[in-house]
Amino acid sequence: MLNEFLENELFGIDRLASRIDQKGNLYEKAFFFQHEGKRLFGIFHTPLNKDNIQHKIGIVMCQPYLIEPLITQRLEVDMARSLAQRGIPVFRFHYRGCGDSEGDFKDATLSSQISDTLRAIEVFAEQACLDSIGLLGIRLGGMVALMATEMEKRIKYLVLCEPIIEPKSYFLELLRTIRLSALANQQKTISTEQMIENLMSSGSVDVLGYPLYKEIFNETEPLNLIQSTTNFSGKSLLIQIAAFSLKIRKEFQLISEQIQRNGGSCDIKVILERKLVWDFISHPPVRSEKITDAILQWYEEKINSPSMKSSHKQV
Amino acid sequence: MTKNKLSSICAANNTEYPKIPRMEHPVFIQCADYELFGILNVPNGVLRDEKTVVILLNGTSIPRTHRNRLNVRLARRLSELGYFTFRFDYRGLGESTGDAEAGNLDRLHTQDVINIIDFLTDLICPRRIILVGTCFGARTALSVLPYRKFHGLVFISAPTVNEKGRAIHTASKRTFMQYLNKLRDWKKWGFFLDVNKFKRNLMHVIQKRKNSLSLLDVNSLIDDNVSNQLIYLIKSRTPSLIIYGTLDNYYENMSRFIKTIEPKKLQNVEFEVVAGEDVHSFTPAYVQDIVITKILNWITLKYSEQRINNE
Repeated sequence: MLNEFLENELFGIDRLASRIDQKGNLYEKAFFFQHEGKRLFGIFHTPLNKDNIQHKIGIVMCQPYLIEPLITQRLEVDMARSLAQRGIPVFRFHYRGCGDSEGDFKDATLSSQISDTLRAIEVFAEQACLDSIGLLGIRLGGMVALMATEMEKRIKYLVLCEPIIEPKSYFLELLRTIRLSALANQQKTISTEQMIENLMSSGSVDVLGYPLYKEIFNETEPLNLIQSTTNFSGKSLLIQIAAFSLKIRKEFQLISEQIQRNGGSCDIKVILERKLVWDFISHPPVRSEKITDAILQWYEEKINSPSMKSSHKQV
Repeated sequence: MTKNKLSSICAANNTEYPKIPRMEHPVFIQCADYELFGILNVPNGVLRDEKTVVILLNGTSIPRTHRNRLNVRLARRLSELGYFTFRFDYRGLGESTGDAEAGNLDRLHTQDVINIIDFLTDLICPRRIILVGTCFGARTALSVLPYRKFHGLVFISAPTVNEKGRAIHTASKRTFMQYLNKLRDWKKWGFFLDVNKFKRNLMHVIQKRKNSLSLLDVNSLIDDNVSNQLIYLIKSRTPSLIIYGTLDNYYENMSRFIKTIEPKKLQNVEFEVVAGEDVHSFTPAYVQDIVITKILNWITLKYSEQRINNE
């Protein structure tokens, strides 16, 4: 509700929520949108000059979970800006209970994240008049993105960046990191099993300053990304980030085969990136041109190529 | 409202704070050759007319929300109490544009904060500006004092040394944790290929061992820049709250420094200690709640008192 003060003194503040970068061919606008009684934060990156846009594809980004946005925050912004400068609008948003969005962190379950993603697609499609949508999911956001494809038919493209295959193993890895951190700080340590018991009895456990709630732990426990890839038949890219081995992981291979069996296409790119090693203790923000370039290259080859343009026109 | 009543409000459970509806506005602030992004919380209540703005400053390379949304939670609570708040990304971080090179203790982002103070002054003409800084953000806030006037400072767990001193000070613990973590997973072994980093870390550990005795000398624990700025802060009589955990790397340094100042000069400075905790890392989550409560209590008490005195 706008009160008198806002009308008189902060009139026009909404104009400050956007920026224009003429040189970089970029327009950005940050705003809050409503979903299930919560205001979610979103930011829209779009090319300034839309003349070169051949077909109306937009990308919605699905963030990682817990401590990982601290590592990937700048990578996400870089990717969004690069894609927008090349003519692909991008919408980034924060799930309820995460980042600048409203709600408690407890509200951020896997199903709520999928629901928020679907709402973000709706908001994005309205604003940018899009025909088809691509989802770019990072880590746990990869699972959210894949599961959202089953509910939204406009999703034709999927980019999964180092997706988490088994959330349960991921959470256990985080719990082991806590033990290690406690050990290094010469604090009392408890076993991982004991931590899970605590999680079940008290409802949450502290993971490096973030509460991990039993709701999301239980919800994701039976899930596996390979088994979730049952219906998606669009074009997809799997990005595997490795420190020094170019060998494709078996799980990625299985996901790719499954998508191809569904009638879709799936490319796998292995990127050597020593900086991105998911260090949850020092969590340095990572910037990687290699990842951004890989996505752009895939987009140019698979979506924006002349043959694809003609098939888009035929559609 | 009496001071006792105020204290009882502050000491009460968080849910008992009066809640005022608020609005949040994302803004881009045009600076020289970059743009800063932040979110302004606008309260909609009785204290709003006081126009007190609280600016939240993070550690280097931490986005505006901070760990576990510490800043978001603090901003919303302050806003519900009637204060304007502003959280933002430093240049090259989060949504802000500009030089991507992260700031460090020798390269504080003072200009970013000056730009924000100027922007907020133009926008809302605040009667008071309070800076709340953690780690690098606290040092940045302190460095703003000679350039812009502010009316309160919350200085949380900031390093008291320069960049080289910090690297040496934290070397062994951090190196041990990092290396142990990476050793566990062969996929992370690529980290060890960075020979220069390995060498640098090793040198810091050796230097720390070598200097361990001299580090106990208070003069070497507080960088001249920091001590000068702190003395300037004390002389300026700016109300300040300094928060450290007893397990913080720099708690001893700050504690010794405070003891060297005459008590009567410290009338406007409160030194709060969180016993048995490391505030700097903001882990575990309950430490975040302790710090939030301390900040809310101090701001509420300090500035409500001032309002009563003015009335």
